[in-house]
Amino acid sequence: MKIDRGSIGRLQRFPSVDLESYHDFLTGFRQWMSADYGRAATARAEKLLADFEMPDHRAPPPDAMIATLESNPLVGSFVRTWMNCQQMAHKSLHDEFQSNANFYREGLKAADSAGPGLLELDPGLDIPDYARHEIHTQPGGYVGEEFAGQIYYYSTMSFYRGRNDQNELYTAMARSVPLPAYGKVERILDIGCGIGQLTVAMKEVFPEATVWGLDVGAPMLRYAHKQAVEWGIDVNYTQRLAEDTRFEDESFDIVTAYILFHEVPQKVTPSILKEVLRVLKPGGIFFIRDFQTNRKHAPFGKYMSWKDHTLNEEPWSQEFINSDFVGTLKEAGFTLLEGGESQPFLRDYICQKPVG
Amino acid sequence: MAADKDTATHTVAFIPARPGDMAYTDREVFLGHPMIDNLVKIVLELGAETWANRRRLRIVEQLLESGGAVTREAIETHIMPKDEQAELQRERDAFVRRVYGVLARDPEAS
Ligand SMILES: C[S@@+](CC[C@H](N)C(=O)[O-])C[C@H]1O[C@@H](n2cnc3c(N)ncnc32)[C@H](O)[C@@H]1O
Repeated sequence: MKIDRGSIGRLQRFPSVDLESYHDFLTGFRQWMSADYGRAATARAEKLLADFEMPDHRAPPPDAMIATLESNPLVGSFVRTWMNCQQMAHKSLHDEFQSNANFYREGLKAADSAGPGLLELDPGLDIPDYARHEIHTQPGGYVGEEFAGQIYYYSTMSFYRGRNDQNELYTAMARSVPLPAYGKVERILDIGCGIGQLTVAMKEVFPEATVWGLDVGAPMLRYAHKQAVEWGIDVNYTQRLAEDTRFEDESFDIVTAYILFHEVPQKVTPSILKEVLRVLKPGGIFFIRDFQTNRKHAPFGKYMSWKDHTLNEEPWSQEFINSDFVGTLKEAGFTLLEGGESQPFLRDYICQKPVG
Repeated sequence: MAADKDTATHTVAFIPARPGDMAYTDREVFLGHPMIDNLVKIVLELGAETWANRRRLRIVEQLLESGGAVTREAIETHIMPKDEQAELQRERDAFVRRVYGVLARDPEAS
């Protein structure tokens, strides 16, 4: 029998104390990786690469550079444990949800048709191949694993290292979204909403607005909806593509996209931007938070970002960071308002649909 | 593409990160020999297990101190007081530094 551990505020407690503690350990380890351990590995890597001819910042790190780094035990063990943490997080969760599948399936089913908000699933949706990868090695990815939503939620807890237990990261993000030129917000769309953390935060910051979360992944949306139902938050979720939202022209005041664009191929990006421009009202805001692009990385950062791509299965991230995203946004017809570094490694791209 | 859909689980066929294996399987060797990489994994797993036991024991102690019943349900549903939680986090971070700190010691640094 599973014991329902319930929630503490917005924190959905882990399915068991032991699993919670296991992930608490990972949180502590990741915390240390980002501090002393990371500093030591970076310092060593910089020494190793001091005389290295760095290629064009868009080129992959040369094999010799990778070999030099990985033959060093300090750097090698750093990358080793980085991957171990990721694998431990995913495997422990996948085991839990799959070995109690009936229990968790019933939980999702019970919420599917409950309110206050809607859940629209589209079993007929043609899911493009690029969205079927096991991105950041999440087992089954966003579309191929029934409990992808739960796995995403719990695995990102140690990734955020306890800083988002009450969804505070998303609340702060939602508060930072500027108002449209005309000052009114009636309808909001969150594309690539995943498990709806930003979607819900937008509803809380703009309680009068109708808020939609859109994602390609049904398992992600079902978990998002289940949480919204539990909290009694009136947001709608729909399974559609960001490049084909099927919403009416000029029907939204704000569109948001948090860490979506580094997970889509460059050839798809313009069609998403075109779609957002279509559904936004003139003067409306498109708020994006994602990786920085077109910038020179320090050598070890370059290496780690390459490993994130090749080892941690971020198939589209390199295309994205090597692109000129600001240029792409302007080319699509947006006006860039402002935006700078927000979270570590991330920046805001705050865009407006021009008036007239 | 309809054939790859499973309506009971709302899933579709995915593209595996490690063809023929789970995404969390890792065959890369960073430490010269696969067995050394395996040992690092074992050491991390043991750390996580040790920490889980320590944390569970702390919960049991808290239940005993408050004079309540120590059942599995009581352990699972116990909510740790905020100050205890903060204290435990400090302990956790110290535990990680104490056990793994040597990894960050650069043998080549002068
Ligand atoms: C890294 S997750 C981010 C989720 C969420 N925004 C968050 O705050 O965590 C990226 C999400 O984008 C979705 N996605 C990727 N390509 C998409 C597309 N073309 N249309 C809709 N959703 C997409 C994925 O299914 C996934 O849930």
